[in-house]
Amino acid sequence: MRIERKSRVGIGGILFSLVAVMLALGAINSGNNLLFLVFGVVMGSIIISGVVSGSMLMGLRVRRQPPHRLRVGEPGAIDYEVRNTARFSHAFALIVSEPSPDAKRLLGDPRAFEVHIPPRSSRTVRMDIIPMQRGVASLDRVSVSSRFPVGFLEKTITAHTRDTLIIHPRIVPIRSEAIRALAGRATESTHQLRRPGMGDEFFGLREYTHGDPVRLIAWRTSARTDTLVVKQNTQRRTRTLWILLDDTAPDEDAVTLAASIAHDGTVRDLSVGLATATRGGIVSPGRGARHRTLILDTLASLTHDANAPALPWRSSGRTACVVVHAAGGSLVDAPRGAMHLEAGALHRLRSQEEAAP
Amino acid sequence: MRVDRLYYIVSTITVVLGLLTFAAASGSVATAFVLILSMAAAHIYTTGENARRVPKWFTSTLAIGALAYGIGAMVGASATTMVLHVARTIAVLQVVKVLEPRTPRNQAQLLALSGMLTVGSCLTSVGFRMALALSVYAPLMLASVMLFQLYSAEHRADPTRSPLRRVRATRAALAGVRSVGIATALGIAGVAAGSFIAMPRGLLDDTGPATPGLKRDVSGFTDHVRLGGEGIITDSEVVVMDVKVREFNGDGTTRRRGRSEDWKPALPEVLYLRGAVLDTYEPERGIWTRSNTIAERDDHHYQNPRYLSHLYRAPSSETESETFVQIITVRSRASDHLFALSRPDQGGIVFERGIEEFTFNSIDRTFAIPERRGLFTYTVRSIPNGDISPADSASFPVGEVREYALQVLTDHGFARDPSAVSTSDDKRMIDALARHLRNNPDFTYTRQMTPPPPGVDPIVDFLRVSRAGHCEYFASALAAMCRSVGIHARVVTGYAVSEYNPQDTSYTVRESNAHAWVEAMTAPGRWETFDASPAEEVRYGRPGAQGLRAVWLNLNESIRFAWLKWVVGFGEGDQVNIFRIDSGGPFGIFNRVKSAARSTGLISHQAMPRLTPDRAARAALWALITLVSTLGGLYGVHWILAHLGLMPKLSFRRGSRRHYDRTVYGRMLAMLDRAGLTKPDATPPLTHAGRLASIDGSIADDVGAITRLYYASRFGNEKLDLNAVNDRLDALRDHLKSRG
Repeated sequence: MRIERKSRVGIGGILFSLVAVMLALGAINSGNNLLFLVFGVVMGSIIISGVVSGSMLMGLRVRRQPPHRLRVGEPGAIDYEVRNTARFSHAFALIVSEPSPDAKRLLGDPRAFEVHIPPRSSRTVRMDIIPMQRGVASLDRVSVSSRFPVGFLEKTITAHTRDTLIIHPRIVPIRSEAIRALAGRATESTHQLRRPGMGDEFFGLREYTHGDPVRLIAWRTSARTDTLVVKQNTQRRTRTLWILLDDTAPDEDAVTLAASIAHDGTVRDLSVGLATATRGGIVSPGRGARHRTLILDTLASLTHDANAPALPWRSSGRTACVVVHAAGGSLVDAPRGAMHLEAGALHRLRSQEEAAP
Repeated sequence: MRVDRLYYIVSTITVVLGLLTFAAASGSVATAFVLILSMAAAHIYTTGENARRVPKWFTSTLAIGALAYGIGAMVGASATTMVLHVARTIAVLQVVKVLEPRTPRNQAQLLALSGMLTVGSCLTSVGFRMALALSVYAPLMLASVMLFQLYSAEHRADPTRSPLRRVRATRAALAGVRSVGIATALGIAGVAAGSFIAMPRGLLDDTGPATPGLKRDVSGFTDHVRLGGEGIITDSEVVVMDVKVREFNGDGTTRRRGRSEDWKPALPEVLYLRGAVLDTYEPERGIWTRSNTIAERDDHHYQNPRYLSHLYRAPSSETESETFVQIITVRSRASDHLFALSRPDQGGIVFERGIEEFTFNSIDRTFAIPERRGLFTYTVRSIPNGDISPADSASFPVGEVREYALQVLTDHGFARDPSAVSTSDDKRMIDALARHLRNNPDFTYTRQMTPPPPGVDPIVDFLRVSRAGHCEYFASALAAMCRSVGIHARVVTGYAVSEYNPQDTSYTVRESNAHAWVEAMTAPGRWETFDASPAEEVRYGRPGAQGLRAVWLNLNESIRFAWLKWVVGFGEGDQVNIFRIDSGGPFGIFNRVKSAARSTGLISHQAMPRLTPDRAARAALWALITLVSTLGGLYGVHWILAHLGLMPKLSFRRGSRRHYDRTVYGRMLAMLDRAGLTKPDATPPLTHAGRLASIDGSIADDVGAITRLYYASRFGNEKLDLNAVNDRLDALRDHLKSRG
């Protein structure tokens, strides 16, 4: 891990230096030895402050322990393990920060504080953050700075360590009747799914393999064939919902609405797919928590390309489609029968109970 | 522990102490008292359970009002007054800051204002009280600033939080702050001392005001004597001068000598430091002054020779061998006159740098520098037995004084013709007259002055009627009686001192030691000192201190003197002396070593030539070359031994202990290698130790133990137990040797 060190003279330091210069001029002009003495104290403060703060940060090592994902508007935290490897130097008044541009843009220049780290010990410093924007933050540096002991100089060490933090779009709870209406549009499949799954209908028998639940053993058939066989059911019927996001114009509300629908849809066991106007289908329909994370990750990294044309996109006739229009967007070619939502509908669809706070 | 609370306590004490320092420096105790009360009221109003927020417009109005007052008061004011007004404005702004919310920004401004107020105090006064105040204020300010950093850093990390939120730190953290604070304070003191010594002095001597003088009591030495006054003379313990007297050995060297030591010539019990010589008396006004004729004709200007060496030249005559060299540091001064033991040598006066010229009068042997204030040092050589030219006039109005004097002389069996220039009995006559005044119970020494009736000469009134007065009356009476009978005499004012401070081997001269005595001509060209005042009444020193109190007073005096001499009065000359190798400063230690070596008799003068800067530089160069070559040679030998595996390698890099860990392990492998028990590269060390068990169990034990110690240090972050490792290595070496 590469470590950079730098010093910065703050406003206080500049003013203090000016005072020192004036003191020196006054002392030389007047010959007042007390002014010479005060000037010496001021100079000593500046020099010793630099030496002490420099030696204080010399032995510091920092390691980031970030969460993988955060969500816009929801509190989160990044932990840092700050280790003081020095034998004698204490470290005081440490401020941990993320100087990378992504961190400033997405996280709002967060900082964490630690009062003291004794020599040869470490502390876990927690940085509380509330992400401001969705996106993928490339955290390539972490800084530890201090103005201790006198505050004229701010010494900083910057450790180059790379982590990626995905910040999901804001999720707004959708009113239950609204999500039910969306679910109702999701057409049920008209044929049995010919593959085994966790559904209710019988699909077939197969040989027992180690790890199969005992309750699935077909005892009679096993007795008849003298081989342990287990029952298999068909895959549960799914209702698929495609979300077509109009990304021809930058509109965070549209992304938020799409993310909220995807989130609530997957929570309600819908099979949700994601498509955008300029990219087409980018996430195939799927269910479950991992699929939800996949959709939100995709939405987090979604960028607006002003030059990209809207592509014609047709969903399967058996699936429902909800088109989320961006304000100022140019999406006109939507699947027939699709439900159209403006980004402004977010407030209308928002769950009142959960929105109250 | 609550860092914020601790910060508030320490910073409040610092701010209040800053105000008290200003009060002590400027003498505005009432102002400081009002400001501290205002600050306390503001603090109570804005904190606690019933805290209220002061409207912004109110504090802004106060601040603007204070600034307007400051600017208005500064218009047309002198430099000193301007400083006072600025300081007062700053003090009021501090109260405003206490009224404002306790944000880190306001707290930082409060501390900065306190520092500025202290700078203003330094510009106002340089007294010893400032030294005491600064010695407490500076560490407190450092502690406040350090705690402020802890307190404010959390706010910087999260500016949205309330500034009143508590900030906590463990006791260990505060102990760490304390140790860092001590180290920081020592570092700052070192840099400050270095900067103080090295900063250029005297560059702009003529452009700015000099170091402010110490406040001086009005009583004490005067360059004239006014009799017939009214009131009480008040004593003042203000120190005027410090006098170090050195005996001149006649071989170009001097020795510091104290009063109790054996002097050659004998140093009198009381040092009479003469200042003004008064030879003209006006009976109508009762005033002794210096003759204008002498002053105008014989006050000659001399250039300051600057070099002390000629003071210590070998004596040219037997008379000059009885010489006192006095190093006099003037702390406060009310006239142009300077002081010395009788009789000062005009060629033996050297001032510190910065004083270009002085005047010296060869008739009355007085010298002066004009318009010099503040603290300075001069060195003067006195030859007690040297001649002084007679004054022009010895006349004195005849009448009652002559009658009285002749009566006294007759009573003592003397008779003198007033027209005679000099007689062989003059000294005895003067002694008789002085004894008459000094030992006569009819004459009372008192500081209570009563004016004589109008038109009556105060001396006649003293001799005939009141017979009570202080030293000026006794001296005036003796001088008048001597003159009335034809003996040349004059009144001398100065200081008579016997307070010797063994701590710094100097005499302390106070205002209360101001005295008047008589110089009379006992033979043509020979003036001697006579004191007619009752010795038991005159304050030659500070009375009443004995035992531990005397030690304390002397120590206190020494510290005050050191403050004045080495801080307030530190000048260009001191700088030069400090850096001169052949001076008494820190770099002069070489010469002291040389003197000590000579005094043993083992080294002759030829073997120890005089150390000059050139020789010292060459010696330093050779010492450096010797040091580098010795260290280089030692390192080379060590390098060879280390590569032979006989010694651990040195490492000057960080983590050298780790390096040594690896060296220990490498030494073990080298031993095994030499014994034919080489560890294969792919075999882990402990596995190899296990395999060695089949060859020799004790060797395997040693290898296993060393390897485990190495592992514990290398990977377990434990300190390497060098004793245990060396014991095991020695054991391994023995076992390998025994195996052959």
